[in-house]
Amino acid sequence: MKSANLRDEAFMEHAISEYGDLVYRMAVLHTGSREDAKDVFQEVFLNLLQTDTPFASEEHLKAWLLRAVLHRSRDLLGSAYRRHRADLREDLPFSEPEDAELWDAVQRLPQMYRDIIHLYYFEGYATGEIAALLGKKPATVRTQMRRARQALKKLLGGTFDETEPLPQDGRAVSCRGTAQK
Amino acid sequence: MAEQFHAEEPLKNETRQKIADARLRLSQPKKRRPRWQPVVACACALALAVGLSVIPRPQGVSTSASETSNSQNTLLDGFLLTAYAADENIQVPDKASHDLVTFEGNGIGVWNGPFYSGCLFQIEGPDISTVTLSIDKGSLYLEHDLARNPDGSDNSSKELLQNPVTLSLQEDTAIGFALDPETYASIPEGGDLKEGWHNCLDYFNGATLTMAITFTDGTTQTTEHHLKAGGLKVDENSTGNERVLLPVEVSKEEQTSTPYIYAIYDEDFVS
Repeated sequence: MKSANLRDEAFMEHAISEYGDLVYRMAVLHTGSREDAKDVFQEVFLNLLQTDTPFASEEHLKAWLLRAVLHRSRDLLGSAYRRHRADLREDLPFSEPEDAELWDAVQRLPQMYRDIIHLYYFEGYATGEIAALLGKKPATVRTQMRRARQALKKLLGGTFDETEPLPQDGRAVSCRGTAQK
Repeated sequence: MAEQFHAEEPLKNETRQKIADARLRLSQPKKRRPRWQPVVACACALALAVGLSVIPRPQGVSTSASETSNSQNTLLDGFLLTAYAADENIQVPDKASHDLVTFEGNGIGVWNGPFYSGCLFQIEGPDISTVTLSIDKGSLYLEHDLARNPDGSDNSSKELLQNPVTLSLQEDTAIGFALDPETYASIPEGGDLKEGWHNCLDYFNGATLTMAITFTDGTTQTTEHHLKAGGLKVDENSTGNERVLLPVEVSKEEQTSTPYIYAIYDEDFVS
């Protein structure tokens, strides 16, 4: 572990205060477990302490944090220790029943689709921005987004509109599927 | 929906504390190991090298630097690797902080079973939570209960490990290089017992041992050790009970006339 240049206290406090909820939210959505999300949360900020990446802007820092959450969550989910534990996916409480159904449906998507859905619908990134975050081609992200929405429609059995056009540059509008009972 | 998930203040405060702890640990000046790091070596049933003698040591286990008069417990990047041995005083030069050097010691080859080399090391550090080890050639084993009976006989037990394996470090254990039964059976026996034994250790030539150390603050450090096996020269000016090991390789031809200890070691140790 390098001992060289560490981020100063003011920077770290700003990062935790400003982006702590975002990091935690992404970690919960990605791992499906609040306990795992706490581990990811702490790991991400400890890594931030030591990274020498020069952040050109707040958006750059935010993107770095999101990537760190995705990477650490994948490491955690793929770890031998994690695989040997019982499934700790929790019954997370939601204020609206349809939120719980949407959550469940999203969690049942393949991992790569889940990332895109999270970033698009929950964090408001456009497909071009998602592509940059995940290191994919924009066309790939759009294709995967369409497949993710088709899968969500199938899971929710409702009026989830998989044909909604995908903004490539502007912010996406938060969207919910409507489940039919 | 996702707005319901917030990082609560206790989590943020705990994270702030871990960051402060990590900052303190990473900011501390690194202590240098003394040039000569005394290590207590274990006797081997086979002759170790020309000119060496096995001297029974007092009961008990001794590997750490704290037991030597002028040594310091020096931890570079949070951990220290020390060769474990039991019966003979061998001093290892402090050539590099994390070089792995192990000497053939009280090993055993089990008929139709595994081979335990006796080449052992310990990982030490104040804040180590777990260690994950993997090796791409051969196996690893755990030597438990590093102690001797009152009569000086070995009282330890050996356990072949999974690969990879994650361990919580315990005081009376050391980690060593082993061969599973199938691999052991395939090693040429050689012309005599010593050659056969060294053929087993030679199996680790070119192996890579990967060590991922997780500290109590959740951070990890991973190191790779590219291994060699062979004779390491003993300083001919060593006197008495002490044998001073040099980072100099002794070829098989030279071993007939040069004092050496057969070892499994980091290739960086001799570079």
